[in-house]
Amino acid sequence: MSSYEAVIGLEVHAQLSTESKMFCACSTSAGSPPNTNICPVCTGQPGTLPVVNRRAIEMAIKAGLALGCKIERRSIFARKNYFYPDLPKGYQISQYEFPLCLGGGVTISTEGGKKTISLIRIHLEEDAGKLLHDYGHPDMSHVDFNRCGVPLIEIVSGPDMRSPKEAGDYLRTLRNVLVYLDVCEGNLQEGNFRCDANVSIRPVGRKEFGTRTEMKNLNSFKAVERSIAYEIERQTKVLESGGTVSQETRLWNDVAGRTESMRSKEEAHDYRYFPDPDLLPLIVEEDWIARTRSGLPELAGAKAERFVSNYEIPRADALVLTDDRALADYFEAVIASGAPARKAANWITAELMREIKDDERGIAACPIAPANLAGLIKLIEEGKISGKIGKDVFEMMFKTGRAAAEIVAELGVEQISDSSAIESAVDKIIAENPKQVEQYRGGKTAVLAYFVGQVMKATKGQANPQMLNDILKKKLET
Amino acid sequence: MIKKTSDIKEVIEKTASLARLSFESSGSSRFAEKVESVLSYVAQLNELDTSGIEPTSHAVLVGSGLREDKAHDSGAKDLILSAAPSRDGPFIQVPKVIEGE
Repeated sequence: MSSYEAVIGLEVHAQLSTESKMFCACSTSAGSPPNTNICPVCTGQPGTLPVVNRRAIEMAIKAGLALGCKIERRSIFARKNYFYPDLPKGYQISQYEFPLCLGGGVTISTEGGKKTISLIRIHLEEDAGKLLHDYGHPDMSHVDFNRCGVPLIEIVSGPDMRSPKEAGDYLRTLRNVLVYLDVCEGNLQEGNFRCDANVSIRPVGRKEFGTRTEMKNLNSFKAVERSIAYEIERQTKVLESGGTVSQETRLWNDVAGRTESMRSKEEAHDYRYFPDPDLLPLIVEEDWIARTRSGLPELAGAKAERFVSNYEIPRADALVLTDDRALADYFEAVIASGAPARKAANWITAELMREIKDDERGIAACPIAPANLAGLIKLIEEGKISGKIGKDVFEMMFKTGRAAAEIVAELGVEQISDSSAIESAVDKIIAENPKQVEQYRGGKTAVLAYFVGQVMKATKGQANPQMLNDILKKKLET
Repeated sequence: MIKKTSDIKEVIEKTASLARLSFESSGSSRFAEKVESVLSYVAQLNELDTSGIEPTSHAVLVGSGLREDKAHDSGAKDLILSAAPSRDGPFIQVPKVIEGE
């Protein structure tokens, strides 16, 4: 295994979050009943003409700029020809020789420091329809054209990744950029952010690439990493047993945890690309690019810097919080609800992140509203509950989504911050333990911990620890 | 550059299969002759030196017009679906096709 190195490149299809389709005015809504968002253009009726959606172009330019690509002033839509029931026109409108964006890169952190995964290109294309197999009839497929013509960008990376982890990190970083830009919802399960992986292996030190396989059906970040790891191992076994890897498309079977050959045809795909005569060259004027550039939102790196300087939180926390735009927004919403920034950062990066770490929905899986987390922090800050009890309350908030004050009142765990109540508890303990009082007054001050423990026991842990300490010392020393 | 008639026959057969067209076996020889004469006529263009000239994808020299991103219902849904040879509820039904088979 150690004598081979993996070479991984990813092709990502990201659905642009437009209201209407790429070349017609049909809605892109994902929740519509089958075959409702269709029209003569996207179903390929004779005599119809496609008209480009300005917003889709603008979103693609945004993505290109944020990823450091060169935006081409002139790009060409081409027809990719093939027959399949999900493609009513018999071709997909895409960009081939002259894509909108060239170059660029995505920087990830690796054990050896920062690494930039190069991008080859980003081009615009339209999505195909959806086929449902085994939907009531064993020999028939059902076709839904709603997705036909929905705008996509295809982002093609260079063959720069060397491990499943690097591929996963690249994909997560890329997704975060697109989500930050508001150009894609970035949901793998729902299919608006899709990934195919090209994997090959070669002996360490060799320059030439080995034969690659392309993996499809990767519906989660985990599936991407697992399938690549599986494929590296499979190819290694093939080579080590003296065989050769055949170039093919393989499907990831998530349940079985393996890739399976798609029994591809002998004949390679021949798409016969040619410029679409129905569409004129796409011209993007310099001032459009400039305006889009100046309208780019704050990206993760800049946001992290701002969090460090404005909120004075540790850089490590800032990086974690800005890794996901929704999480960063959540953090700022907690602060806006009155919580001190450092405390908010602590609660989110420690307690909250632990609860959501295995959930691919991220912060969207958190039932605690930002104002409620701020409420919990406030209760602790004001000494109404102890930090320790705060953690229990947090867990209950996470389970129920209820407000902190409500839970505290119900459990009766409110901290005793009434000095007379603490004083009477202290008086009682002092009276019951004359021997320890003597020891303390004789200079054995470590015995203070014993008194703290006794009072806490008597108050079921609800005495405000700071007040208890002060009162105890005062009483023992006079 | 395609030269021989046998090459042209091969191209025609491949193109026909990609386009899901079929004709009797004599057809490919008949087309080969016609296509050969068209290709050799067009091939005269190859005599021009086009290095340094940008590829022309369109004869019109203006850019594409763009539309605003506003969605509206086409109102043509039922008409489109009624043209499908086979349907099942809201779906169009086709013989099962699994890629690669």
